[in-house]
Amino acid sequence: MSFASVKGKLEQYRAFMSYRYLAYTFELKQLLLQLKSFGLIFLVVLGSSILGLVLLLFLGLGKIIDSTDAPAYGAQIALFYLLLQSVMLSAIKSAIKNSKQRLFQHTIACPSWLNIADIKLLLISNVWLIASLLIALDLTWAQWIKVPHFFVFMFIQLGLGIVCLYKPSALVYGFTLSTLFLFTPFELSPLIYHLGFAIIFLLSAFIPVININGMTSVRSLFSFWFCYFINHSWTLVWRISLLLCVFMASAELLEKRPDLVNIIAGVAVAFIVLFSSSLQFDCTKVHEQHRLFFKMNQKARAFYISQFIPSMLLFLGAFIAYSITFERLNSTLLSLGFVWCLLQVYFAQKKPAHYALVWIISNVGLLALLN
Amino acid sequence: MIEVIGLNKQFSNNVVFKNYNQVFSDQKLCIEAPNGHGKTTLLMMLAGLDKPQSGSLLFAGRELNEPTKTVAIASDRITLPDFLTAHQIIDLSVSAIDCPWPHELVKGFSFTAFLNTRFDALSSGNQKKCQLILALMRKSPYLLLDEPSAALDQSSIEHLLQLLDVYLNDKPNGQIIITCHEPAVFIEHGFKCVSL
Repeated sequence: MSFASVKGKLEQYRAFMSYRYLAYTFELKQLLLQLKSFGLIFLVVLGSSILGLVLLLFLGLGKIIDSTDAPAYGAQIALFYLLLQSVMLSAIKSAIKNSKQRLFQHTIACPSWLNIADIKLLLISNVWLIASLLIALDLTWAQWIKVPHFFVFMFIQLGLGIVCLYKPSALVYGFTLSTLFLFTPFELSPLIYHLGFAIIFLLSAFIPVININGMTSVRSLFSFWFCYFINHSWTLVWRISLLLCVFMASAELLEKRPDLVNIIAGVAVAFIVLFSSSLQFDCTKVHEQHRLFFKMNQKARAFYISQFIPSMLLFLGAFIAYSITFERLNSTLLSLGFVWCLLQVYFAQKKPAHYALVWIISNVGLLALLN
Repeated sequence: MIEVIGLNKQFSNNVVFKNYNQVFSDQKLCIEAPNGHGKTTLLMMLAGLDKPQSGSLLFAGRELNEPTKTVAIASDRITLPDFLTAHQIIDLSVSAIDCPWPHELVKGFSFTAFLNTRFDALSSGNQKKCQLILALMRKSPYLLLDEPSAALDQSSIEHLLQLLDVYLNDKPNGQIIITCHEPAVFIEHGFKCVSL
């Protein structure tokens, strides 16, 4: 190959990479625009506590590293981190891969370039792995020898990122089996836990996808929505993951400050309402898309009403799970939460621009009531 | 007979129909008009899936309270659930409107092999077949087909024409209205062309 052709190839590669970077930033901006309904909430809730969240991220990593005394707890935290990482990467996967223009990319670059670009963008997107690397760089050789499981953990972080891009079905199997693995009745070392996770996720990549959708008979609105959520499981996965965060945070706070139990429960309900009722944004979109189909089938009214049910069911499910986990079934809080969730669902459907404001005002009102 | 009286319809600033009056008296009609002149919008309003700002749509001299019960339509504008298989979409419609499963139609359009394919994975021709099956299986007296031959292969067009030839045999007051940019084959099968 001549020098000129090598130079030409390099130029092509650089042009392709700059295209991918441009597409990546463009799609990320679009994603942020989609979050505008939550803008105010992010500003108020997350904006004020962003430093705290970063500290929590490193604190959690510290617990993973220093889990020799409580390996099962460390493994739980590790799996939870991997879940959150997968949720975040799944959200931006399309931006990383530039999925919409995937075929176009094949017309302008060789397949290996696509993969290189994917991995490069994956690495700069994976803040969870970057945080682990920052800690890893700070460890001395003597510390490294004591915590080999952290190296395995970082390897899983990298591997799961790749799995998330190319074999997302393995994540479902991997997380399900890993959760079961956590309940192993034996005393295991942190290294064994992490190696176990690595093996489970590796094997999960070879489990064939089961097409539940194709096996389901769709003869009612219930089965229609069931199939919708099977095919768009992402809408539930990220919400359930964040609800899990709320549960874990509640558990930590209740352990440290049992005197604040009412406030903690109130805040937890607020987040349960937020994550459940926001499902209405997706359901409204589905209703808008298929409204005419159901009108044609003389089911317009039933379909209209059915769009509100998933959010309310998610709220009830999450509230009951919270009550069982913390052994606190409060009927007043349930009634308040239910009405609040209904109100949020209404605003999500009718006046999405006011959704965040209503949540914040109601939140302040509830906390004032509990005080 | 379908009468359109004083129809007004606009999308934001785009006026599609302004005091539009028309009588569709032939049993088999093909509406012709350039793109963007409101052919699909008119069919959607006739099917009761879109509302005019004002005006009346009379079927045999009276307005229909529930047009979806007597008018069947196939149009790209009706977004079918793309995450379901064709079989599931047909199942859902069959149970919703309580009509027999369209085995003959599926077989006639050579669609059997694609029943278990998700709608979004079907080719545009097969998506069109699915729309046509959903409309034809209702056996409604009024049948509205928006660009029925678009994307269809030759044998499917011929099958569709055979079906349309006999569709009104048991519906003496029925009507078939289609929109089409290449009406020649439909004219051969008794359709009259009407400009919008």
